[in-house]
Amino acid sequence: MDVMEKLTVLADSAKYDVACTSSGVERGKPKSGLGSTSLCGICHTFAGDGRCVSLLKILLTNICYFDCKYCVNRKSNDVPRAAFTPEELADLTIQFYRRNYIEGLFLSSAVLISPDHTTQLMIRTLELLRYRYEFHGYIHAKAIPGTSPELIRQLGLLADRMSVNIELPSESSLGKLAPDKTRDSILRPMSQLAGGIAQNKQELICYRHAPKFVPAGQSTQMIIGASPENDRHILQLTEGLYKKYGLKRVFFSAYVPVVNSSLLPAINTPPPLLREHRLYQADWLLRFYRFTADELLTETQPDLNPYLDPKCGWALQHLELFPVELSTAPYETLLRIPGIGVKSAKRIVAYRRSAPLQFDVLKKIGVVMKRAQYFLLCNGRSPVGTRFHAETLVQALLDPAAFSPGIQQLSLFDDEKLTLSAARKEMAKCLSKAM
Amino acid sequence: MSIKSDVIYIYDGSYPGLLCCVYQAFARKEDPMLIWSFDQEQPCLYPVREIKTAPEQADRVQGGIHYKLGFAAERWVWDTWYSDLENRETAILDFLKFGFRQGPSVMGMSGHPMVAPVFAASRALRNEAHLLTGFVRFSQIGGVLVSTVQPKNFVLPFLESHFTERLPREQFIIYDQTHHCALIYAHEKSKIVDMENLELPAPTQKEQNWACLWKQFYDTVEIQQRHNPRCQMTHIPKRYWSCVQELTDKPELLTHGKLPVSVQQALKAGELRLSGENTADAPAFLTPTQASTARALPIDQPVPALSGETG
Repeated sequence: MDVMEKLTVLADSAKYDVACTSSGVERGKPKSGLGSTSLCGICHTFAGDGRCVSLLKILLTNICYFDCKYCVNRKSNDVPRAAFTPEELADLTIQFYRRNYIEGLFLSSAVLISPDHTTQLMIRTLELLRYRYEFHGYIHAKAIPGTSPELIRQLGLLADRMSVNIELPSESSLGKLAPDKTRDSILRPMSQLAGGIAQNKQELICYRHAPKFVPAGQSTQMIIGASPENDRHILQLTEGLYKKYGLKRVFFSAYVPVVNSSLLPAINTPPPLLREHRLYQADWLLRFYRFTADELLTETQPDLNPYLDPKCGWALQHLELFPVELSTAPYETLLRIPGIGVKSAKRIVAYRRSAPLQFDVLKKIGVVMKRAQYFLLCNGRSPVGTRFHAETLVQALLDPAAFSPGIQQLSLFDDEKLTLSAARKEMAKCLSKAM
Repeated sequence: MSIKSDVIYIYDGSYPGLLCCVYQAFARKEDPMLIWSFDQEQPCLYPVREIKTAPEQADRVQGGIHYKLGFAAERWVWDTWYSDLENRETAILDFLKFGFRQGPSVMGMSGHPMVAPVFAASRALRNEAHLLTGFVRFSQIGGVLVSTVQPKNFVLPFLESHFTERLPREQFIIYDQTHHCALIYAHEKSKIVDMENLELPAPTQKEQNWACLWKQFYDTVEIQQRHNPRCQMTHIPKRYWSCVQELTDKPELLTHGKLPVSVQQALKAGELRLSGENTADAPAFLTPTQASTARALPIDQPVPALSGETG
């Protein structure tokens, strides 16, 4: 098998991993060798599905002795198998990196022989890269559940970011769909990494040249739509992971059916992309907008509204808090206005220190007035006045993406021969009545 | 906004020249309608004032920006100067006039009509430079990594700091087709030079293999069930596609054609001579002998490194 075939088989197996970020660590010119990293990360290209390709995302091998039901590489599946040698993979990475195709390596692997054996192969690859090629670019390594703590520590000293996949949002689903993995075997390496990162921060304060352990932090991912958990459960779990393990990111991956199994959605089910999108929006609200999971979703309303982005949905349910006076409101309140993001909120705070705010200035600062105009006052004046219907308000907030052709939620309307815009009006009426 | 004076300034097209225009505008208490460089000059009914470049005046304005408005303002002015903003000279003058009146707090007023054009131009340039740090594709030709880009803004100085840090032991050329300039880096020295055209010999079979491997990887990582060309185009706009090899399905784009004899002759020896691994096909094609330094860095100041721009 030549490198081309191996690359095809192993990239194909790795593509369901979501994380392809190269952010979180800044390294300038190396003393020897090649490579640097950028704090904000760099996207090198975008695949036909619109996902960023930043790292050479690849499995070391797809020969697996686990039998997870949802996974394309499970041992009972009949697919071509391949394995890279550490030398081949290191050479490939360096050659791609020199040509600026990639920002670094994302190394994952199926479980060959045992978790420890696989991790040793991964360590060997990263050692070649870091020591022989003196590669200082970004490396993301996956920790395999069940690996011994000593090997995880070694891997963590070579990689920039590590991740342990939580796979499914609850223990019962995990038991059903991934019989070889347990909650404990996933959470143990995660808490080891969290502890190691915290300890390393302390060491770096005392000794500037202490070896860096996972400097770009850890992340995780879970599959959405393969198991019955609701959005509220997922968001609470996400929030818990951020708080307890100090994760940098939690990724969601809409389940793409690759397997025929009675435990999983049918093979022709389209991936729940809109749901995944809403969860990411809610994730942003948790990380950057100072929302909590309980504010966004309640027991009576356990799922995110597919037609509204979560922030607009929250605002519609808390109209008593609006409008907000921009020239006096604290930063935290500004963040809660639909149409104002982190950057525009910061710019508003900076601007109002030196001059009075005006509506045309807001637009230049980057505020999306289409949504924000209903929720703000500028020096006591509102851009829309008080004369607007609940329906106009909802109409402005509805997410056009939910009404674009191809989104499966709307198949309902096809029979009634309703156009998309009519469907949109209908939905606005519906939601405004519920307010 | 003040009423403009009925006068047009003409300067030599250099950065110090522009700073002298700012100096003169303050000294004469004028607010010129337009500022033209020599090559933009055209017949008009307004009186035209030619501004001579005087280093001491330029230094004084530069110092003023630094001490009265701070480093961030200096950066905005540089960025605007390198950007493709129409009438960037007047935008810079407006910003500085307003800034010297307002003081350092002008940096918070990004939405103000006098500040917004400079702020937007700086953002556009930084964003494009950030995108290009990812979208540049090198192909190795005789031991030298060569790449072509078509940016709207003049981003080579910003790519320079990024790639010289990243590939310090390599030799590379990034050719800017829009501005006909090239960034050349070899033996730990880099330079931006004028270059009318860059034609290169076809890459070797080995090089094409790497390109094929990359294309294969790129095609494989897409999840077909999630195919979404609109989303892809949002993230990587079509204007970049011609220089990003995996997005052009034409394999001939990987080959750059033949090296013309005139280019070979024109580029012989020089301080930045590039040497190939294999001398037979080594490109002795690039030395800045006939090339003057293009759009030289303003007053020997280092270009601030890209930082924190998330694109």
